[in-house]
Order: sequence, then structure tokens, then C-alpha cells
Amino acid sequence: MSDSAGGVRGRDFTGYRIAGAIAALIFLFLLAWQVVLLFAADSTVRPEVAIRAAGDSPGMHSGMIAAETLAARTRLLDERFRTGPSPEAEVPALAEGRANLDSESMTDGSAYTRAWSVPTEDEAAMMHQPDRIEGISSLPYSNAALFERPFGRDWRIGMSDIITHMGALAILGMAFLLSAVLALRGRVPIRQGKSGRRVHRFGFVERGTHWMTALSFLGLSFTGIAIAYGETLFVPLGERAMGTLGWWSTWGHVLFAPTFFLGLIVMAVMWTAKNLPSKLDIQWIAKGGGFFSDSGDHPPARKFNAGQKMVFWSAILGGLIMVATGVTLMFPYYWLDLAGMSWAMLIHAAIAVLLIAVFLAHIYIGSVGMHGAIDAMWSGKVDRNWAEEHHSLWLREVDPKKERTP
Amino acid sequence: MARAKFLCDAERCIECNACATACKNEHEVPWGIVRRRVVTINDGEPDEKSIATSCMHCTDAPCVSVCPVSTLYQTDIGVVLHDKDTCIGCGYCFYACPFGAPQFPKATMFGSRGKMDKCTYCAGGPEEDHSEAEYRKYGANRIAEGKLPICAEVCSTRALLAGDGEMIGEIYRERVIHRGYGSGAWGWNTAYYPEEDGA
Amino acid sequence: MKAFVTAVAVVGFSAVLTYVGLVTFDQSTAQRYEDGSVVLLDHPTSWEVD
Repeated sequence: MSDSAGGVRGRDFTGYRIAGAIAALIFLFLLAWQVVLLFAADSTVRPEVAIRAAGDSPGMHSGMIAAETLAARTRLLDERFRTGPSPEAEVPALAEGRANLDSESMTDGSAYTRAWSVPTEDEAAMMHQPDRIEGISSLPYSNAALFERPFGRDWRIGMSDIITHMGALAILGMAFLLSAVLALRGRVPIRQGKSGRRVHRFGFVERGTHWMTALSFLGLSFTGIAIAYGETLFVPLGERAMGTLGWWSTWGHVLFAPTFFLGLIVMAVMWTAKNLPSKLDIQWIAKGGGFFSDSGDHPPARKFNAGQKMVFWSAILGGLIMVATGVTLMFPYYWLDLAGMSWAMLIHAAIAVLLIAVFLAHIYIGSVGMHGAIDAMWSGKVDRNWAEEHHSLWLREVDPKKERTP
Repeated sequence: MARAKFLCDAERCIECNACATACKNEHEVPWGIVRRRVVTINDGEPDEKSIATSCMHCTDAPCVSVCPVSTLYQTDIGVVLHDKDTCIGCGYCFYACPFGAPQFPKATMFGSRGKMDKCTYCAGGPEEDHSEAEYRKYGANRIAEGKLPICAEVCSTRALLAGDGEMIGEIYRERVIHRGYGSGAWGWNTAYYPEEDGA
Repeated sequence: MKAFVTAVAVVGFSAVLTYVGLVTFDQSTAQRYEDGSVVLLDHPTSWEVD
């Protein structure tokens, strides 16, 4: 096996490598765009709609009239002896509530937000200390007793400034890496070529469970990405279409959850014993799984190598966190309050984007990344030479009598 | 330019819930949703205070920032409005809100939660002003008539102030000077001046 | 192949079942307070959310 001359080489898969190079370029472009967004985009909320006095005087002037109208009305809230209206006094004309204010869209609102963020000295002096404040309420609604939770602002930073960007970088970064590997290295070949003789690797239940979980995961991922990144992805379709697609995704997201959970449980029962860490894993990791060279000198592995074990534990542990937080979010207030649910949502989103990145790698290596790998889950029978190169110890366990294929 | 705000004078609020009631009536808010509510803190203690609260129409509003479908948007007077036609009921705004304002008509499942509802500062929504559709989805549009939110205008003790932020701040400060005490503008730091350290 | 098709069927069936379940057991907040903790008026509100 250690001879380096002859045999199938990864770089001979020319078609795959060209496709990989094209994909790598596309992902590199998207990744660069995302990095630019990370540094250039300002997530500060700007006003998008202007309140104007309706009529024939457009622009700033009508905005002034609208402001004066509301100001005149505000004056009525001052002490009664000062501003009226009292039965004797005249109502100020603008404050009568017979105005006609309209709204129109506006472009650059960032100046407003900047101006609003700075308190005057008087305002700064009169502000009450921000704090989480909860009291009692005579209104029988969930959460009615909450007055203030400054944590909402932190949640926003976590969600829209950290997790959203982190997720995009992780997913696009992984996609770029994988396509670059395909372009430069080609597929991981079966060094000896296919022998034509096959070994049984996964039974029907194992494969069925795998695909059930996989399809559920894909469904959850696509709907989840649609919810989390809808504003970016669907923007060309217009706001109505964005809302409709988002609505389907919100509904669809829940529908894939039961089979995902069921799949996790069955996989945990079937495969946990074979995925416990062993000494072989250290050797496997030290050699990078033999992934980067065509020498065929793959480190020995039983049924699952260290890489597969990592994927397995990502699925089980990550998946269980997703199910636990997801179910929590489906039943508001049943066992967590708003603070708890906020954390559940943050964890759900953070783990989700990481899992998507991890499973991109899994999908890659199980399909185009490695010649012959897909057979394990598709037909359940793998080529003997593939098994010999990647799972030599396992092949000997299941097939001790037969000689190695030369 | 006017920056609309809410200010509740906790020394004046008598927890009569007129604001909450008037709001429900004005907009015919459905059961299960309350756009304005009164919270009593330190109930039964010497420093008991009641504060009327709702959406505060924050500066750099977290809900607008996290909304994945741009349902939420802000106007140039600071009022944060929502578009029920694009809302997907994901609940992000509800986790990001520092005042517990966004609510959903159904308290059960993720997808079936329904469209978010919250205080509109009596400014309706994206539909045509005073149209049937606007009223059905968002309630009355008092701002279009040059009026202020009903909750503040109905307040019998004038504890709840709405309108131009500078003016209501001035009204409140004069009041505090006149009577000699005041616990401050509750929630203002979190809502309107997020970059300021706690005063 | 057979395992994959079976998985497609199972996931699809489960999704339909979940959808039916959600719709069947869907409960508005108003219904949740039907234990008497809130007095419900007997007229409909002017706006319903679809």
C-alpha cells in the first residue's frame, strides 16, 4: 500500500477539479463580500419613513409642519393652568387634532439616529438607572409584569452583529475551503481502483436512519437559513415575497423537527458504542486522516475513523442541543421565562450555523470529496479496496478469512 | 425635528389602567394582546411605584435590527411601526425588545404564533391612512390627525406623557423642581440613549 | 436507494402529520385564558389575524 508510484491519483479527476475551482471562485467572492459587510456595514437602525404634513408643500417644510403639529399637541399635556385648554381659553389651532399628516419613504436617516442618541445635559441628569425591573401587574398576560430588561440590547448584538456574521463566515468559509481542496487536490481516490468485490457496511435501518436525519437536517437548515438570512437572500424578490417565503419557512421549520429528533435517538443507540474515542484516533488525527496525500498510506481505522466520530458527536450533541432549545422556543413560557428563552434562541442560532458548516464538510467528503464513499450509505455495500484503504481494521473484523486484494 | 417619546412619571401614576383600557378600546386590540400595561414595582413597600409601559419606540431599535424580513421600520419622528403582511412570527423582536412589547396572538407553536402586534404610537401602519385595512391590522391612526397616543391623552393624572421628547422632558423636569422629588425618566436610558452609561 | 426513498417517505409523512397536529392543537392566547381567569366578551374583535 505504501508504494507511491502508480495507482489512481486525486488530481486525475479533472472534471471535478474544474468544477471545484469554479465553485471556489464563487465562494471566495461571496466570502470577500461577507468580510466587507462585516467591517463596512453599520447595523445602526435608521428611520425609513418620514411623517409629513399632507398637501402641496413637499420636502422639509411639510416635515416641519408635522413636527409643529405634534409639538402643539404635546403642549396640551403640560400643567393645565399654564397651557389650557380650559373652557375659557382658545385651543391652539395646530393642536385641534384636525391635521392631515401623511408618510413617505425617505433615504438617509442616519443623521436622525445620531442626533437622537445624544441626550442633553438635562435629559442625562433625569434618566433613571437602566436595570432589569420586574414588578407585578394586574393584567393577566404572560410577561405583563416586566418593565425593563436592558439585556434585549445585548441580545440584539449577539444575534445581528455576532451570530449572523459568524454564521455566514463559517458557512461560506467552509464552502470555499472544500471547493478549493477539490480544485487543488482532486477527489480522495481509491488508490488501487475499484476491485469490483463489495463488502456489506451499513444495513437498511442504518441507511434509512441516516437519510431520514439527513433530509430533516437539510429541511431544517434551508428553512432556518431562510429565517435567519431572509432579509439578505430574498431582498431581490421584494418585501411581500420575502414575507411569504419567510412564513413558509417558519412553518416548515417545525415540520422537520420530529424526524430529526427520532433520527438522532436511533443513531445514538446504533452507533455510540462504535464511536467511543480510542488510541487509534490520535494516530488518525496526527496523520490528518491521510486526506492530503495520494500515498494510500491511510491510518488504520475500525468501522468509524476519528473524522467520522467527530461528525457523529457533532450530530448527536449539537442535534440534541438544537432539539432542546428548539422545543423550548416552540412552547413560550412553559418552562422558561423571557430571559431563558432569549438564551435558548441565541444558543439555537449559534449552534445551528456551526452545525451547517460541519455538515457541509460531511456532505462533501461523503459525495464528491472521496471516490467510493457514497456507496456506503447509498447501497450499503462498499468496494473492498475502499474498505482496505480507509477502514483496514474493520475490514479484517468483518471479513477475516479472505485475503487482502492485491 | 420632533422626536416622539413616552415618559411615565412614576410619582404620579396611580395604576388606574386607564391607559391600557383606552388603548385596547381605541384600537380594538384582540384578546391575548395588550399594547400598554401598568407594572407595579415594590408592591406593598414604602417605595412602591407604578409605571405604565409599552413599546418605547427606541433609538437604534433592537427589534428593527434583528427582524429578518424587515417587518419593523422606524419613522423620522422615532416611532417604530410594523408591517403585518410581511411578519413571519419568528419572535426575534420579542427576544430583542428591552420592554417586552412585541406579542403574538397565539401563545403556542413557533410557526402558528401569528403576526406580531405591538404599540404603534397610534400611528397605524403601512396601509393607507384611515383605511379599513389599516384599522383592522393596526388600529386607529391618531398621528395622521395630528393627535398623540390615546394612552397619554387619556391619563387623568398626566403621569403618562407622550409627544415631542424635549417638551415632555421639560414638563417633567419642571414638575420635579416644583414638587421637589422625582425618581427619573424610567427606561429612557435603555430606550433612547443606548450608548450612554447608566446615569 | 431503497433506504433513501423510505427516508423521503418517512420525513414527508411526519411533516404532514406534524402539520395536522399543530393545526389541530393550535390554541389562541384567548383560548388559553378560558379557564375563567379572564372574562371574555362574546363579540368578535374587529380585526382577526389570519
